[in-house]
Amino acid sequence: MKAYKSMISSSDTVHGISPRVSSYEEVRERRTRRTTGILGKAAVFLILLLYAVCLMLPFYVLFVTSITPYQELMGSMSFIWWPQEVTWEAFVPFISTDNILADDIGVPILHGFLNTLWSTLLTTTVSLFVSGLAAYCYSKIRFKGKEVLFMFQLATMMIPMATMTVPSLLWYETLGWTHSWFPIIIPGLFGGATTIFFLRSYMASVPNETLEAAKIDGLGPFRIFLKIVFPQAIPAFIAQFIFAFVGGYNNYMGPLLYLSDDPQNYTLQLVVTELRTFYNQPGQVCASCLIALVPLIIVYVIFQRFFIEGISIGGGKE
Amino acid sequence: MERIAAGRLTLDLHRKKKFSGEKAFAYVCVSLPLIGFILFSLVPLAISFISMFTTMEYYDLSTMTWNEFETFKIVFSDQDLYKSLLVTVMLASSQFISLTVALFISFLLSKKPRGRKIFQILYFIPYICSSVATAYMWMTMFDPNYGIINTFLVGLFGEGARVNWSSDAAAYAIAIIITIVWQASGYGIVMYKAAFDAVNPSLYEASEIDGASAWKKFWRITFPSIAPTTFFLLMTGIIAGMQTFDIARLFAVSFFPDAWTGTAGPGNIGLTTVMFIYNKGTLYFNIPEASVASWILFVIILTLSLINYRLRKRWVNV
Repeated sequence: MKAYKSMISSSDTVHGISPRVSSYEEVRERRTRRTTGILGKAAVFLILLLYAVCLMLPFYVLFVTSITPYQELMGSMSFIWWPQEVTWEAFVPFISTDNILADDIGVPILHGFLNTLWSTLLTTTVSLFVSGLAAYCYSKIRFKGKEVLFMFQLATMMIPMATMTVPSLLWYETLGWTHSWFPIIIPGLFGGATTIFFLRSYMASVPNETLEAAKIDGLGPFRIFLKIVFPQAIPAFIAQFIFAFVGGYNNYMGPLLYLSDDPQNYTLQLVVTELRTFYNQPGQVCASCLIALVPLIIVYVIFQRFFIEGISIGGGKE
Repeated sequence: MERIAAGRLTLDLHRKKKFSGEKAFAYVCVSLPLIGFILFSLVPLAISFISMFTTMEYYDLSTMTWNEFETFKIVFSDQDLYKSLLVTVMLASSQFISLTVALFISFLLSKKPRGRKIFQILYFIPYICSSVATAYMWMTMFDPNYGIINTFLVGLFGEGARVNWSSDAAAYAIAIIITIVWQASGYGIVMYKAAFDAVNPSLYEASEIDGASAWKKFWRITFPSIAPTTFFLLMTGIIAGMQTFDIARLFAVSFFPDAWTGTAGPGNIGLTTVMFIYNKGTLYFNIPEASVASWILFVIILTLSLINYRLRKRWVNV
């Protein structure tokens, strides 16, 4: 209010549109605002820094514990910020063939990583492709019964199938699929309702004129999808890919139910949990966690823009 | 006459050709996800539903026999079920803590402090960490002897403040909640950040002219603008929290090597409903009992989803 008043009074001066003459009050107010501004900024920065340190602390603990000798750790009654003698021994069973399961899985972390990678990439890619095609049809092709089918597809989103994970064992046992990759992979190949819904709303922005022109040029629907719709919806696909990939990489319950009885089938997360039976020293547990975490964190840091954008656009539209 | 008939014939042919192309394509694409839903959601749902009224051996459908609601009687007289529901609600309500932290931190981030970008990248890292690694790293943090948490507590309040996190029920619950909050708040921060960025800046300018204080600005402008995000995060968070399994089970298995019996912490304080279901289904091979508990959870979550859907719809319309 004060600033507003002084502005009026300053424009009343002889020069009319001359440089504003600030009143005493205004100068004082501005000065106090600036000092609280700087103090406030520093406080904000410090709180954010403190929070970041708290969040990152577990990673430091993980690292230090993994390089601390077992004896030193067991004899200590407080946290060891840095070991007297650094040892990398805890990593050995996981990154070499010097382990009890070597006959089955060779280098455990590598074996688990490859299993996780192929299974996750396969389901994620196929699922995205199938969902993308369905989304394209729902958004750009006219066909009888479209509204009814889409309503049905939407309704499936409401069904909390996650609660049925354990009872589903019955169905997969009947199919003879337990103790195999099928329950992890096959259901995922048919696409997902949430993905379809999200991709569909994104594809709505692809101009119909372009598609009509392509149709006149004689392009079939599949090629229109591949050459026109897909390239324009790539950000949406990346967002969904990241969701699905992180979910698959970190999946614990699925592999636990179906893959944990055969070391050959261990995924990365199972390597960490199952090898704990044999290597349960704190350093070894921390070492295996650390190696399992690093690949995804590196990918995240490189592509963090896509992660964060993907999460914020993906989540908001669900 | 003949000419008209011929014209109609070519028209029909044209239509047919169009159908065999684009529309057939659309039906195929759209039906794939629906087939997947029927095969891997509806069928298991139906089987699980039927199994509730039967007794069976192992996972063998052919041994199913009608048992006059015996399964329901057993499950509903199981005190563990009620306890697990309470535990689950308690863990799900830790969402309120995650959300408050996320709101506060992203509010500070919206003040555009130095290093904002890097903070944001760091804050999201816990969210992409697997629950396996998260559980193990926090177990190390909570170790009674060399754990960093106890080191801080002892340093601040003396030796008497040392907590045995795995033998005291309240401490065990707090440990799980801290772990869950650590992992979950990153998602909230990203979503809130997007919401803060989307607040109409002219509203702030208008209120500044009116001389509104920062406090008033937050409650009158910012808070209402981000209310839909808050609601979305709360609902999805509670729905996810109701299905807590990974952290609860990993804590149980790691702190108590004899957890194959299904115990989860002192006085079963870490026994979530999904863990109850998992124990019934895989440790006791009793899918009918697991199904009853699954359907209870199914109904609860379906109700929450419907409320979420309804209210969101109203919100968007307003």
